[in-house]
Amino acid sequence: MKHEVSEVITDVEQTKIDDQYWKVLVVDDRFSVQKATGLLLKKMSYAGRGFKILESYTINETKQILMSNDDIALIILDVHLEGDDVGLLLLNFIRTELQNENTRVILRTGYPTSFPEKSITKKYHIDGCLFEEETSFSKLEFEIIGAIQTYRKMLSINEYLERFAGSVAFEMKNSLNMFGLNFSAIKNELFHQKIKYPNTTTDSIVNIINRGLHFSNRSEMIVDLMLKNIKNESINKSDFKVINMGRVVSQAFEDFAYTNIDRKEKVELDLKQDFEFLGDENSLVYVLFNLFKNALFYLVNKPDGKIQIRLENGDDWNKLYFKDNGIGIPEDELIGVFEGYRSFSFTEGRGLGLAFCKRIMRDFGGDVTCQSDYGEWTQFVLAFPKVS
Amino acid sequence: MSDFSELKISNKVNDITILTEIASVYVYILKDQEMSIEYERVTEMVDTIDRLSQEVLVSYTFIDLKKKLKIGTTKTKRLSHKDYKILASISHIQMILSHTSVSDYEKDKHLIFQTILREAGNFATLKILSKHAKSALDSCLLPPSIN
Repeated sequence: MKHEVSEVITDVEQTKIDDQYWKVLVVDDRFSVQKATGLLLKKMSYAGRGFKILESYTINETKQILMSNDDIALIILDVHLEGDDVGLLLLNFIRTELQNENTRVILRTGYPTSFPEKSITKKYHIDGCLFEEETSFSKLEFEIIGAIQTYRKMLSINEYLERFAGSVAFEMKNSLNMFGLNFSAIKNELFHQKIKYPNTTTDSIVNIINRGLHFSNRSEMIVDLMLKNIKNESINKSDFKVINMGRVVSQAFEDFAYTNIDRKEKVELDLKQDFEFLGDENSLVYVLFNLFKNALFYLVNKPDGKIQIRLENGDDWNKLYFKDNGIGIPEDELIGVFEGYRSFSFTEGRGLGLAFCKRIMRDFGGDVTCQSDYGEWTQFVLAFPKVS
Repeated sequence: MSDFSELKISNKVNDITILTEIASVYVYILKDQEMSIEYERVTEMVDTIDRLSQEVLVSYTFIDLKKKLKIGTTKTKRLSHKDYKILASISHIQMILSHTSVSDYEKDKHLIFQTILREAGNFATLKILSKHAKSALDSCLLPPSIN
């Protein structure tokens, strides 16, 4: 089986080689560093492709370049560009703001107080460090190739996952579509039976069928959303409508596929301060389902476990609080909870789901944040702009 | 007198002397406004600058070892992060030159001199550089007169 997977990956790699360059962004305010790195890159090639250097001397310039180039393979980042914390701020911008997990990062440092802590290296997935006093062309070349190899592998895996997910989604959509057609056919048949035999009671069956149709449609839309997630696409804002929050929360609460009825009883709703938001209903349901799934997973063996959902009609923002008294999240992992490819120690990871939830909330013009007291509780706060 | 004061005095003589020497090599190169210095000679001088700057940085580690201080202590006392970067980046000019052929040198001479000029300009801002060395460098870095 492993053999088959690697064959697919190799095939995907081959398609990527058609692009002309590996883009390397050098963030450094020193002219000599930029020119020396450029000279080296000009002479290098890897997997049939040359290198293209993008020079940046300031933070703002770097941000602009990063926003307009989503195919940068590697960033060589001087940790002390315009101050001590700048390197860190840029890393945060890349990994958290832009949610860019693919681009590799090598830090250039050497000053005794500027070495990143281990937790930073882990958190921002840093690939290496170039020590100023030990820099040579061969060392630089070695580090660059290593990072590009990782980048290439990540691209291949992502593309493979995208294709795989695409196939699964296609099959699921196909089946859901068939369910829908069959439900409609039964409904139609019942309608004709009712005409033939007016005394027959079919209302309860029609209700069940309508419910089936509702689930089938919603599932199809959620599959579409999941595909957008994998493809890193945003939701279509032109379809946004003003929607009642209380109704969506109640609907999500009813529709969620609880594995056990006891689990549904763990959920408490406080919808007194109801509000409206501008967005897409299915996307919000997807967000809520993700929160339900994560929270309920940790409440299984907790008899007093509960989930509290509360709405707050605020002055500046309307908020939805989603709190559970599960195991909580360790402090050092809390900051990266919305980053992609993170599953911590969870079996049904918060991983990609939460990263996409964040993107949905930002598409709504709001945000989602997470607070936790490890071992005690976790709370997600979904903030929505007020609808005028 | 505290250990720190001793450290500053004992080291001062050494690093400042070497930095003055680096400044004098920069001055020699910069005085050649026609960029007529041959490839071998420029390479030799840049090698010298690189070696001397490495010597300064290594000397700080030696002091730390001698005084049983945490490695990096003297470096942070003598150089700000910005100054450290200036000293360390000299090696990049050396890297450029060592990977430039004689024919490419003739072609890219302007860029190489521009790089050296910028490095020299940064070097002149080092806080621990002597006033004498700084003014000698500044006189070469002034923009050429219109006349």
